[in-house]
Amino acid sequence: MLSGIVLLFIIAPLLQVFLSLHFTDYAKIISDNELHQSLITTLLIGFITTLFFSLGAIPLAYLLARKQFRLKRLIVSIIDIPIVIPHTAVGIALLTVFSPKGIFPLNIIDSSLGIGLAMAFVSIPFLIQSAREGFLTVPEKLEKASLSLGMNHRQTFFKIAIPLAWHHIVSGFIMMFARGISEFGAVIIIAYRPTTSSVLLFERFNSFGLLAAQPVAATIIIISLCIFVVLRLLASKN
Amino acid sequence: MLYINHLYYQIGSFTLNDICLHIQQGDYFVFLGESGSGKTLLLELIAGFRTFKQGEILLNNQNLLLKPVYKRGIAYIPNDGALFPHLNVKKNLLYAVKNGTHPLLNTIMQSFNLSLLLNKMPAELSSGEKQKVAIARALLSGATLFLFDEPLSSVDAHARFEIMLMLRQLNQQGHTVLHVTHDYHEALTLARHVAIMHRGKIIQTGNVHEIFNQPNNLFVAKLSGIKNVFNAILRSIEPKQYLIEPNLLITVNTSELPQKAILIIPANDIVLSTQKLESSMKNSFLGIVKDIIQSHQGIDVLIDIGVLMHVCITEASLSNMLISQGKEVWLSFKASSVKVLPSA
Repeated sequence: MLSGIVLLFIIAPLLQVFLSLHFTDYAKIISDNELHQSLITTLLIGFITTLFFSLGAIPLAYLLARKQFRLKRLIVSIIDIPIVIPHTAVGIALLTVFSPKGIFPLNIIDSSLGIGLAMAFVSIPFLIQSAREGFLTVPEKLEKASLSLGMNHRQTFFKIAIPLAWHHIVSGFIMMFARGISEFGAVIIIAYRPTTSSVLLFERFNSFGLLAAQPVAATIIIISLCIFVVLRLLASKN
Repeated sequence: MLYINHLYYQIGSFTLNDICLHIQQGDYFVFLGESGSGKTLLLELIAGFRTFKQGEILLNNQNLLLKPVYKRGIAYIPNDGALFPHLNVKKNLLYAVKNGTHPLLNTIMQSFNLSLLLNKMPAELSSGEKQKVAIARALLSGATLFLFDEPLSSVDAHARFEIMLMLRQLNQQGHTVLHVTHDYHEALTLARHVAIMHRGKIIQTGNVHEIFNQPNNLFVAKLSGIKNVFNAILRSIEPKQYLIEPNLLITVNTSELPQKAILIIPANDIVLSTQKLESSMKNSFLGIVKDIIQSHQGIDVLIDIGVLMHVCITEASLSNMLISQGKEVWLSFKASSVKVLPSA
């Protein structure tokens, strides 16, 4: 009974967004260039960010799974911190680091770079932890066998560890991407423009109310679900 | 070929202690020991999966510490073969082969009967088939030294004999094999030389016959599968008698009478009877049957005569004498049957 209520709690709001749409709303969605542009911006920045950060996140996950070193447990805990910090605070924190007078002297305000950094910061734990779990499921003796057969560490990583942890890596990639494109709090602090879909939704709701925001919300939800399903299917095929 | 000099390695509270060995080219060398004795750890140090700080390992006069693991030419084969589960048998075999072809591929496939398995995935293979593929893969990698970690522990009885034959063939072709096991049968069947390991130390090493015929202490004797082996102290020279604690006097008939000795009384040389025998046998004891165990060599009767003694009898003798648990029986053996070895 309680399980059913929880399930309803998840499904009902998502379903209601679609059920409350009028036929004319669909026409609005089709002709809404601003919405289209924000979706392209969000998906493109989200994908590039996930791809770029995975180049470092996957080797880091491997090190955390395989190597024993001092402060390892602390580092594993630190990686999860972005999940628990309020995301508006993340935006502020990033602005203090990435500013002309910060540690990284870059101006990220109202830039795609800023949006990407905000997306990456809040979503990268999903990829690292999932990939780490994947590498932990790969028996170490397989890598030992590979090394003893004459493959170096890099070859062993790409021929044994990556293929065997692939499901976890893809799963982490999907989670990072999905979490990144849905980010709002950190993004709005750093970059109001170019407009991401979450920011556009907020803007429409703030300026024109619930009815104006619903078509945008429905579009974002359906696109997110589509991406999620497609990537999951790809992962299961692999 | 392989020299190990004063090798030490600590992991947690366990220490591999002053390991010194010389293994010759073409040898079949077995490390025999109980679980946790450090056998696998030693194998991992030779393979290069762990780095040691004290001691040295030389392979063909080259310091192995200076060579990365993937350049050592040492194939490591764990108990399940460690086949890569995402590659089929053919891809596993050719994993380490450059250009995807090897002049010995067809020969090895035929001699190992692998032709029908090439397109199968490792999950579809039996434990014995996995080991066969793993050995063939190691051969194709061009390794000069083969490290087997309990290679027969996870194969079924049917495949066991076949794998043993393969290991022998591998060695007969001139390959040096290091084999870790806790099973003395494997050592007896396969080894030329054996090192007995106990708590991180090598406590006896030598050729396989030396080890099994002249164990230098009780632990080695027991690990070597010898039954009725006891520590004893010389009690008198005339008659030649040893005392096994607490109070069992055994008469022997050897010229050498070390003060501290290991006495071995072969289970097959003991005569069991329900009444005291009138005979020339110097050793005769009354005992109580503690257990009766069916083994592939016959019936193993465990008798308490102050110490537990194994006696091998046939099924017919068991039923003729109506031997059962708790029954009083006599066991007798000749003084000349008792083997006396100096205790280290």
